[in-house]
Amino acid sequence: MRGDRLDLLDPLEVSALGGIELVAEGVVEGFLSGLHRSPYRGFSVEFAEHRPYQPGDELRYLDWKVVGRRDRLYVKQYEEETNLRATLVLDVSRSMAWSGDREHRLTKFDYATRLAAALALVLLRQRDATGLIGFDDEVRCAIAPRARAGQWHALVRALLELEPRGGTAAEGALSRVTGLLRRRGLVVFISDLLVDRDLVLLALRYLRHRGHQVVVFHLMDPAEADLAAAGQSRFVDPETGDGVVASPRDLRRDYRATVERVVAAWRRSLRSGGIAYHHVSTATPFGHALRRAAAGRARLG
Amino acid sequence: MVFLQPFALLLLGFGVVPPLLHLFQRRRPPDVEFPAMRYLRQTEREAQRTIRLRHLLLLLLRVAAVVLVALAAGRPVVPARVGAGHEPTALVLVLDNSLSSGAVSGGTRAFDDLAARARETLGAAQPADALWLIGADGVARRGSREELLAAVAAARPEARRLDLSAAVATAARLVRASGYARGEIHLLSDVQRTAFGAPDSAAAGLALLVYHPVADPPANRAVVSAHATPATWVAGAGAVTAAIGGAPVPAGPKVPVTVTLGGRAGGRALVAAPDVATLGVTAPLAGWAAGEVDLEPDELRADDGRPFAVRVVPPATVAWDSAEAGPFLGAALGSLARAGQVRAGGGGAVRLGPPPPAGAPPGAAAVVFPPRDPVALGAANRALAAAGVPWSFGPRIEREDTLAAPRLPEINGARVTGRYRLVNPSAEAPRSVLARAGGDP
Repeated sequence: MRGDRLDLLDPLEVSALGGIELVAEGVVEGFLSGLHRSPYRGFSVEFAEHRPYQPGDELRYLDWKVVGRRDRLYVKQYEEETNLRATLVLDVSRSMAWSGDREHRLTKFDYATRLAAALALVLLRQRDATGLIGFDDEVRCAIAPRARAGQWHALVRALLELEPRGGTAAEGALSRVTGLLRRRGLVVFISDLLVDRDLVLLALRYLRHRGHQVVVFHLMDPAEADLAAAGQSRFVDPETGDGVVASPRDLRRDYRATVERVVAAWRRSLRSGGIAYHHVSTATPFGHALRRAAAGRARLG
Repeated sequence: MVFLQPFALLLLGFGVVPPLLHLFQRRRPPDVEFPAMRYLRQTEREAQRTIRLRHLLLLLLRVAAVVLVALAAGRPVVPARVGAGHEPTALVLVLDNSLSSGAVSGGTRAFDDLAARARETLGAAQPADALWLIGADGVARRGSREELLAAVAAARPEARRLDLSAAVATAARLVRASGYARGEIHLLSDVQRTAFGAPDSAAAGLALLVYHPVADPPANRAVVSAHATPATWVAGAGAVTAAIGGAPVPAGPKVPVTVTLGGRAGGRALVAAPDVATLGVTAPLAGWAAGEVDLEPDELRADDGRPFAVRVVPPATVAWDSAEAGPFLGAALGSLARAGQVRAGGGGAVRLGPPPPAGAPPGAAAVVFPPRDPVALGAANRALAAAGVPWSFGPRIEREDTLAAPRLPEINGARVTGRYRLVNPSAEAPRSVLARAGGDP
C-alpha cells in the first residue's frame, strides 16, 4: 500500500515524477486515501447521510439510534462548509535555495513549494479559501484567499514564478497577512526561520492575537541540523556573503546542541503563544507534514 | 639518567615545529556555502574557550610526542636504584682488563673507569639475580654480588688480548642457559677494533649494553721484544736487543730506553718508535739472570717494560801449545784471556794442540791440529782413535777452495789453499760437520 501513496515516499523521488501540480495532486490523493476518516467531514452541523461504519471511524459519529433499531453500525456524515480562509506564507529568501546534498535531497525551497501546493489543494478541496504570500526581504507575491475554481492553478503558477533570492524579513509579510485575512482564518508559515527571531515571534503572536490559527513549519535540511565531519572550511552565508572559518570536527557536537536548543526555543516560544510549531526535515515525506497541518485545521473546526 | 645516543637529543629541536605550524599556517580553507550561519556563529562563540583549550592541548600533545621521540632516540638509561627494583635477571659482565685498558687519559686509567661501571652495575644487583664476570682471560666466573665485587677490585690490566666477540657469545650462552626470563649482557671495554674476532650472532635478541670510556686511546710506545744477544753470555758483559713499537709520531721526541739485569742498571739509549736498540749490560755472575728493558712511561704503562732472561756461563779454561798453535792463534787467545772470555790454564776444559794422549780426562774438550810433520799423521790418527774420536785425518789436498760454513758466519766463505780431508766412516758424520771445503768435511 505504501508504495502507491506518494505522500509517504521520499520527497526527492516524488518530485522526480513531475512538476509541482502533478506532485501536489499525487501527494494529496495519497494523503486523503490514507485517512481512516475524513477530518473535513463532521465539523459542520448539517447532516448529509449515513454510511456503514468502517474500522477507524471515530465512535462519536456513530448513530446510536440506528444501532439500536437495526443492530448494525452506521456513522453520520455532514455537509462540508466553506468557512475558513487560509493563507500560506512562504519564505523564498536565498537561504531557502540550499540543500546539503543536492543529489539526494530537495532544497528547502523546492520542498516548501511542493508542500505549499499540496496544502493548498487539500484546503481548496474542502472549499476553504486559500491564498499565498511569498516573501524575502519584502513581499514578492500576494494572492488573496479565494475558494473559486482555478484558485489552485493560480497558486501553483505563483509558486512556479517564485525564485529564492535576497534576505529574510518575515515580519513585513506577516503584517501583510493581517490585511488579507479580515476575519478569523488559518495562517501557515513555511520558513527555515533564519530570521530575526524576536520580530517574527512578535508578528506571529499578533496574528494569533487577532484570532487566527497559526501553524509554523520550520524547514531544516539534515545537513543544517548536524554538521558533516569535514575538515576546516570557510562557511559563507548565502544571503549576506559573510564568512566564518571553522572546523566541523571541533564544533560538531556543540553545533548539534545549539540547533537542538534553537528548535526547542522556537517550539517553546510558539506553543506558549498558542501557535502550532512543526520542525520538518526536508527528508520527511510530504504526507507527514500534511497530517500535522490537517490536525491544526481540524482543531480550528 | 644517562643517554646512550646523546646526539639524538638534537631532535628535540623539532619540538618547535608544531608551534610554528600552528602559528604560521596560512592555508586558506575552501569556501562552503552554509545558510545556518547564525547557529554556527552562536556555537563558535559559546565553544570558543573550549576549542582554544582543546587546540592548546593538542599542540602540547604534539610537542610532547616530538620530545618523547627525541628522548627515546637518545636511548635513556635509568639507574636501577631509581626504581623500586627489577625482576630476577641473568647478568653477565664482560670486563675488558686487557693490556689496552691500562691506558691513561686525562689522568684516569681506562680500566678504573670500566671497573667503576662494573661496581655500579653489581651494586644494583639483587640476591635473586644470576651474576657472571668475564675478564681478559675469557673465563666466566659465577658468584654473588660481593664475590664479583671483590673480583673486580682485584682485577688489573693484564698482558692478554680479550676476544670481545667470543666473550659476548659466551655471555649469551650463559644467559640463555640460565633459564631466567630476563637477561642482560654488559660489555665494559675500550672496544678496540682489533679486540673483535669473528662475527657471532649468539647474542641476537638479548639486551646488550656496551660501555666504553669517552676518550680516544692515546698514542702509545711499547717494548715489543727483548732478548739477549747472543743467547748465552760469558760472565762479564753482554748485550740486549730491544724492539720498540708503536704508532710513528712525526717529529716526536725520542724517548729513553734502559735495561736492567739482576737489579743492576745497564746501558741506555734514545729511541723513536718503531726502532731497535742494542743495550749493553754487565753480567758478573754465572747462571740464569732475569732482566727487563724499560721505556719511559707513557699513558699505557702495561707495555712499557718487557722482561728477558739470559744464561751466563764462566769463561772456558783453555790450554794450548804455543808451538803447535802458532803465533796468530796464540795472540788471539791472549786477547780473549785479557778480555776475560777465556782463561789460560793447564787443567782447562779446552785443549788446543795435537791429539790428546791416552788417559786424558773424559769429557774434556780439545781442538786438535794436524801435525806439522806429515810423517806424524799416522800417530795422530791412532791417538784420535784411542781417545774414541771417530774422525781421522785423510790425505792432504793442496788446492784452493772456498769454505762453506753456514753455522759459522765468521769463517764462512774464507779461502782455503791447503787442508787435510777429514774422514769418518760412521753414518752420523755429516751432521756434525761445521764446515766443508770442496765438498769435503
